Amino acid sequence: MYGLTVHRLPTITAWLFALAFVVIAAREHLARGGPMLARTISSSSSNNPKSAEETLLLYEHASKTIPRGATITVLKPNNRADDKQVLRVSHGQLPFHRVVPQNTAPDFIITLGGTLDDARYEQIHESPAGTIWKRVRW
Amino acid sequence: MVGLRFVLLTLALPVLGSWIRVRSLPLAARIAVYFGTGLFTIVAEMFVLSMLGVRWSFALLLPLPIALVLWRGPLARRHAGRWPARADEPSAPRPASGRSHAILLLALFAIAILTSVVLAAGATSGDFVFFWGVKGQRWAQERTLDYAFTKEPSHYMHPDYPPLVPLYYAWTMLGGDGALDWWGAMLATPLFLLMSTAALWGFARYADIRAADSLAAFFATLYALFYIRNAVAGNAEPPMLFFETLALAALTCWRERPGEHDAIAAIALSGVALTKVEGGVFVALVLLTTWIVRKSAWRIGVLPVLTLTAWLIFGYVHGLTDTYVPRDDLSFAYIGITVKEMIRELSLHLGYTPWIALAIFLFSGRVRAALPYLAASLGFILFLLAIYTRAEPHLEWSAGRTLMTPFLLALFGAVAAQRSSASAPHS
Repeated sequence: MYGLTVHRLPTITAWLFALAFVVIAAREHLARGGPMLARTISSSSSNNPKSAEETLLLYEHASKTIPRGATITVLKPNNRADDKQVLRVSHGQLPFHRVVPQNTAPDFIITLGGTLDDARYEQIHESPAGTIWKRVRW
Repeated sequence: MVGLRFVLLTLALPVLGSWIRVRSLPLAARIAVYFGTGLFTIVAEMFVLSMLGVRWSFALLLPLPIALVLWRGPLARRHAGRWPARADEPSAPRPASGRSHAILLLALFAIAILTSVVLAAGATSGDFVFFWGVKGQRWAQERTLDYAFTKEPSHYMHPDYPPLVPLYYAWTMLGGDGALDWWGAMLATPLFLLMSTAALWGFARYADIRAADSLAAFFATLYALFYIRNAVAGNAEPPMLFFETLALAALTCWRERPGEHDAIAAIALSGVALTKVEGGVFVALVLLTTWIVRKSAWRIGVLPVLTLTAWLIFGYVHGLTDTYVPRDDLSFAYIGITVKEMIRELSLHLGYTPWIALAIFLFSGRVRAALPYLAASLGFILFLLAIYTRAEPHLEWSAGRTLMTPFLLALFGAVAAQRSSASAPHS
């Protein structure tokens, strides 16, 4: 009897724990909205999901509409401390363009929140996440 | 959502890796071995071409694995009559029972939940968006490991991080328009967990471990939960843990003699070394463990050490050193607070229950066989303590991810304990 119990102990243990882990995973998934197809890879970002989703959709729009090979940069006028992080994301989300640092004057600028106070640029697209600006004066 | 190119080039990997000879493993484990071998073969080729300054292409990457498959692959072996029918194999694994299927369904259900979370963007890693995916995309566009872009300080691309994951992403973009399939890359995470589970399950069944199905289900459900909670989709942890699982399964699950899967272990350890910085520590610990268990480890050590050395030399020559500036300096003066935080993180945010389960697995087998792996697990935790010890350790930021490796080492201690108590191989 003892031998049989020891023999089956790993199986019983695994069943119990595996079942518990599945229940925890399912419960946590359901608590965060459950099964769905997100609009963007950042739509359930832990910090600000709505803002992250809108931002990626703006990137997607820029990626499709701005001429390939154009120089571009992205910044948050109200939070320039984020410049480096924003630039990292931009390199990934704008695959067909030449992403340049924010201290340059590229062909296009995307502002995330806030406006661009630069007479050389003209607004060409606006979304809840921000605005795309095109350089029209040199 | 996921492009055909990503799917086809990922599915091509097990085909391109089928040159490796495997014993009579169950089909799922064979696919996992082929997948790991194919991934390492392609990535190694891309890395070597980058070292030589040659831009990669299908024409350069495909001939070698195709030639190897034609020479040594399943069809070549069958043609040469070296692939006996399943019934003739001395080590054919036992067929799965109905109860086995039930617990394996639980494992598959956990992986399905992980897939659902990934599709809901609930496990997206910030690091994937910030640099893993970016590097892969950039390298694919340049068709080489673009060290100029990678080491540019303003890009913050963690240039010292080993290249396997970005190279895999670059492979999936080969011949494409230059944009990474971000969803595909994230959905590779459940695929890596599926392959890890297949490896653990198949090797354990091969070794006639009674609790093979249970251990595989325990592993799959726990790591699915880890992946969800730690949001690692698109990151390097899933492929690294896949290679780690494959290596440990190959080393611990033998039937006729230790070392019968050494070629697989060597390739998997090389994959680990080329995936994350801490992979080098894992390789060193596993080689040391193997040496303790077998009194020899050089056969499996050559390829991983060569791979790691090649990467370190490449990084040194091209300036791929870290540009990341830590918040504050490392100092053992803070070891007390770090140990305290580590003990809290070792609960795995599951009230230490995974360790309790592990103890049951261990004590229902031969604990002595597990000791080297438990020591390796402890060694890895000590390594983590050494790199976390600073004024504000903040283990909560990353320990959930880094502790997945020492737990895996301990889990394979349980596998070794169970294997030692398994019945003698039938012939």
